Order: sequence, then C-alpha cells, then structure tokens
Amino acid sequence: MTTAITKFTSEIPFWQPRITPLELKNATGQQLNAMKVTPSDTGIGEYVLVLAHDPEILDARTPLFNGIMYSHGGLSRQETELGAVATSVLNRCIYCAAVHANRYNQLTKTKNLMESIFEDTKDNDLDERQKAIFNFATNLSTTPSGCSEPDLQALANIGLSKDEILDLILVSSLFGWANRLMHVLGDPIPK
Amino acid sequence: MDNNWISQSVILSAANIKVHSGISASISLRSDLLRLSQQAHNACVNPEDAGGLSHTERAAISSRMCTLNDEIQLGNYYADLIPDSAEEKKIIDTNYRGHGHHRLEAVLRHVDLVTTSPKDASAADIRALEESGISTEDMVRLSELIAFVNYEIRVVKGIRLMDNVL
Repeated sequence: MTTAITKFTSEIPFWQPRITPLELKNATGQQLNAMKVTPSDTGIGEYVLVLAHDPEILDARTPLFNGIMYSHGGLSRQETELGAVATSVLNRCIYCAAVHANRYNQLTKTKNLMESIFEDTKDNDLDERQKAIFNFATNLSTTPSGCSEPDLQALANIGLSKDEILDLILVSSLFGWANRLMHVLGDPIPK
Repeated sequence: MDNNWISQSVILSAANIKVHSGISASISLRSDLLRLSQQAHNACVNPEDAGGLSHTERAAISSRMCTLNDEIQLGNYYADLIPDSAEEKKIIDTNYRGHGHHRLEAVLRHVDLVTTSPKDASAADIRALEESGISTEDMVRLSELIAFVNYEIRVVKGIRLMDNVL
C-alpha cells in the first residue's frame, strides 16, 4: 500500500479510500441521481463513490457545498478559499488543504501565502485582514469552538461586512464537515 | 425573513435569531444556503432510509456531539427528539461509553474521536468500526451524521455570536 502524505502541500494528491467505494454498475437510480451521473459520465471519483453509500445526504450536500463556495455577493472567492484552508489545516486534512490552497494560488496567481501557512510562518506573512480571517476560522473550528466576541469584533474592525462574516462562518463550518469525511474515510497519497 | 421560516430552520431557531435581528439582511441574502442546510439536516437526522442507525439513535448521538461542543440549545433540541422510554437516552451522557454493547462502544468511541479531534482519526479507527460489525453503508451514514452535526453546531454558534456582537 502506498504511504500517505503527512505534510501539507498545494499539489493535489490522490485520495485513497479506507472503505470500499460503491461499484458504479451496482448503483441504484437514487445513487446515480445523487452522484449526478449522466449516461456518458465515466469519471466519477472514488470519494463520490464512497459517499454514494448514503445517497440522501450526498444529494442534499452537493448544492449546499457549491452554494457556499461559489455564491456571489459576500466573501470574495479567494477569501472563501482562505477560510477553507484555515479549517483544513487545524483538522490536518491534507487533501482538502491541498485542493483549496491550489485554488487560492490559482485565483491570486501567488504561492507565498499558502507556503507560509503550511510552514507556519504566517504571523510574518499574512496581512491584518488575512490574519483575522484565518484566526476566526481556526477558532470556530476547534472543539469545543473557541470562537469569542473579540474574534468576531476583529473581523468587523478590519472592515469585513456582515455578509462577508456570515459567509466566513459558513465556509469554515463547511470544512468542519468536509474534513471529517475526507480525512477520516481516506488517505492522501502521491500522484 | 419571517417567524414561520425561522421556526422551520433548526439553525436559526437554535441560534435564537429574531425577525428584526441586526443580521437579518445577511441571513436573507443566504436564505437558500440555510434552506439547503435544513435539507441536509433532514437527510442526516431523519432520512427515509435510516439503515442500521435509527432516527432515535441519530438524535441521541447528535445531542452527545452538541454536549462535546458546549452547545446546549441545539443539544436540547436533539434530546427532545428522543422518547423518554428510549434506551438511547443514555447516549446523551458523554460519560456513557456503551458498556458491554460492542457495536455501540465502537460507534460512540468513533463519534467522540471524530468530533473532538478529527485530525487523530486513522485507518485503524475505520477497521475498529468494521470489526464491530458495522456495514460499509452504515459507516458512511455515521460519518455523514458526525460531519454534518459538527457543521451545524458551528453555524449556530457563529450566527448567534454575530447576532450578539453586531
């Protein structure tokens, strides 16, 4: 068996499931619908095939996930990705952190911010707004949540609108969900 | 945003959001995401096909996860879904570990680990669930329930904090 990656990276690894994925040929109509499989679609990933064992929640989760990541009008795309990375780093979900660091880098055409987060030199390299976002997402994601009024006030003081703050709550909470699936049900392995 | 809609959203009810809250405009902007969150709640807590995890057991596990997160109001909501006579009431108490019930011991150990310290979950923890006789489908059902309720708890806490501060 290939050894799992244990260090954060912005290169997207493979995800190797720890439980047996559904075999596409055995899928029910409800499972196919939840996976959004079209007749010509043969590229369903192992992650979706694992989650298809519970089609009801997979069907409900996909539009919610996309809505939180891609809705217009609140937090910017890149700051949404920063929130996703903060939670994924806390939960040590190497796979989620890689996917969303990669997206952040694509959106900003930079690499240094994610490198400093992964190397834990972020105190030097993040600006005040990025720090407030990162800290809020991290504190909300601990168990029990360590998020307090000063964390929220810090966001408002640095200029985040209420709409942006609500979006940050949604994305950091969402990765509390995603990390608990990706990191628990599989391993990141080198491509 | 109206009272009817708030009462139909477990998140907004548990966060104690009122119609004229100072954050109601932001909540309204994301009303679609709160509705989708409620659909996910229904799919995890009251699914049509509950498999090997009954609705009552799901509510009890959810209440336990709220306790582990110091989230009293949402925890009470879940506890109230459990019939008084149900054996599953015991699960709410985080000191109860399933005494002697092999399957339940494995389930509660996993619930507590993935709730409090997901980074420490390993392949051995999945094997332990398998060895206690839990099916592949039920492992995914349990994983989604744990993961979803941990999402829901943080949205409730975050929105409540926003409402208190802003």
